[in-house]
Amino acid sequence: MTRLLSVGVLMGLAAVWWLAASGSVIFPTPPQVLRGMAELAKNGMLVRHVTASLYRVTFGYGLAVLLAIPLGILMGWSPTAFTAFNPAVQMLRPISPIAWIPLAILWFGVGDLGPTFLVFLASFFPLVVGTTSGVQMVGREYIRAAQNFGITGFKLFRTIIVPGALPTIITSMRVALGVGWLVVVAAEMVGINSGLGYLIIDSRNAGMRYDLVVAGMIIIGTIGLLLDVVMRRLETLKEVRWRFVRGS
Amino acid sequence: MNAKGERIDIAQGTGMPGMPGMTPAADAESIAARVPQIARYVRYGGWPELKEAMISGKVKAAMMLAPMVMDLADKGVPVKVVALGHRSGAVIMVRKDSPYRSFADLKGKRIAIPSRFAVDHLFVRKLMAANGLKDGDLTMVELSPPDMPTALMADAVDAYATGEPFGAKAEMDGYARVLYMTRDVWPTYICCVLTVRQELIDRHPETVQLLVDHVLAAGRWLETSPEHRTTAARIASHPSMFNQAFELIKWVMERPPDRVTYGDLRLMRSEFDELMRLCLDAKIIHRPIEYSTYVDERFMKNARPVDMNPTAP
Repeated sequence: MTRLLSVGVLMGLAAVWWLAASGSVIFPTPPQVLRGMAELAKNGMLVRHVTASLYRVTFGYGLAVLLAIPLGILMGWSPTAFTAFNPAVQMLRPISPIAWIPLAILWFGVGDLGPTFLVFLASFFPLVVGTTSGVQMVGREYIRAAQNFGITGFKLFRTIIVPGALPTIITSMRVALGVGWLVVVAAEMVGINSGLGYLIIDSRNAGMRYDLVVAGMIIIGTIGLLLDVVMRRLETLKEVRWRFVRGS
Repeated sequence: MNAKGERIDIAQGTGMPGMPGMTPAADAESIAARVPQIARYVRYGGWPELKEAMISGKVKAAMMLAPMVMDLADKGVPVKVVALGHRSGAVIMVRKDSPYRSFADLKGKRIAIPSRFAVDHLFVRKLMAANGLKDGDLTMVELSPPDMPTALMADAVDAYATGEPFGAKAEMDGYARVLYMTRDVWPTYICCVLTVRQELIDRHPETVQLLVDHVLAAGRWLETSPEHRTTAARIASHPSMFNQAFELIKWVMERPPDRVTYGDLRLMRSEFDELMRLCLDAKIIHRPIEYSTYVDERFMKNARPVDMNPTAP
């Protein structure tokens, strides 16, 4: 029943879109976009663009997870590390990846590395902030209780801090993946000719291919939804289920 | 403002060679007092934004890329070219310390172009053909023009093709040199053209005529004296106009004076047909487009001289 509800909302949105787009010169209707998608699927561009974007997001996001989570844990655990790194993190965090494009070209040239770096930047900061607050929010009562049982040092860290922070870390991983995927359009402005972001930019440069612009938007949205479904499965792991009261 | 009090926005994308297009109009008070006011000048950050404003009819007149207008008119958007904006004005830049002396030396190298739909792409293809390079002999990388100087400096590309002032920028900074200017190999090069929407032609032909008269007058004014080019550079460098350094625009205007030309803004069917064939060849358009679909010559034919003597702020 709930499933039907979400399908209904999507259908309703498509109907509103169809009505709004009828008679418009720029805004394509759903059938036009479907024809555009079919064209992309037929000439092989769909697979090529989706693979290219997924590849860049996987590496950029993967690298962010590898570096941001340890840094976040350190900042959450050690007040000294927090004082040292937090101003830098908060200063770099609000800068749009678009502003980094000239530097990305300077450092990484043109090719896959530039866009991967931009995705990395976009997902790195939400992960650091999420992990830090996850560690900081581990209940004092758990820590005290563990210490009363003589658990200290690395064991305390492994048995109390990490499991306690994990639910927040997983939520921030979900957010960060969404943000990484969000910046793929901006990231793919950097001298490459593949990817869903490039598809949108290229179709805007073309005369009247707004069907492909919207097709690109819908494909990005759909893949974003699928990635989120996968990430939500992490929330059902037994290590973190204690925090998530409501089932997903 | 036109005679009936309706405001016409004249839009222009990034880059600057379409200078006469902006000369008749300005936004800021300081500039407004110095140039004739028949339209309001609006600068757009990129070609797609400008194109979308034109398609939607929010903007009635714009300096647009010629192939873009051909394609839009062919797809039923009511737009017509009524005059050219300039000729020449594109460059191929390489690093100063690179060994490249001719286009043939770039075989197997990477060259940046603004987009595969840009006229600069046609310039590159023309040079490829003239130098015996085939498809695949060059790797073309699409970069936004402001990022090209950085990419060349970082050795991310071996050359780049773009409209000014993004060539002059790297040249002025000392690490790049011009390998080709359109004036040397394609002096009649057409890039930005004055484009208006059909309803403006139908409802206010006198305004369109006024625009064309002023664009032509601005072009002639620019070509009559070197001081005029300096004055134009001063006006155009204003933050409300191109917002580029005065020295940079002056460089483009003067080194050499025919880097961008404004004297001959006639509409020639043969030139547009050649451009259209090049567009077909580059797959920018997918079928031949008839000249009369996208050009209205009448305003050019009825053009009358206008006195103009703008002064720098």
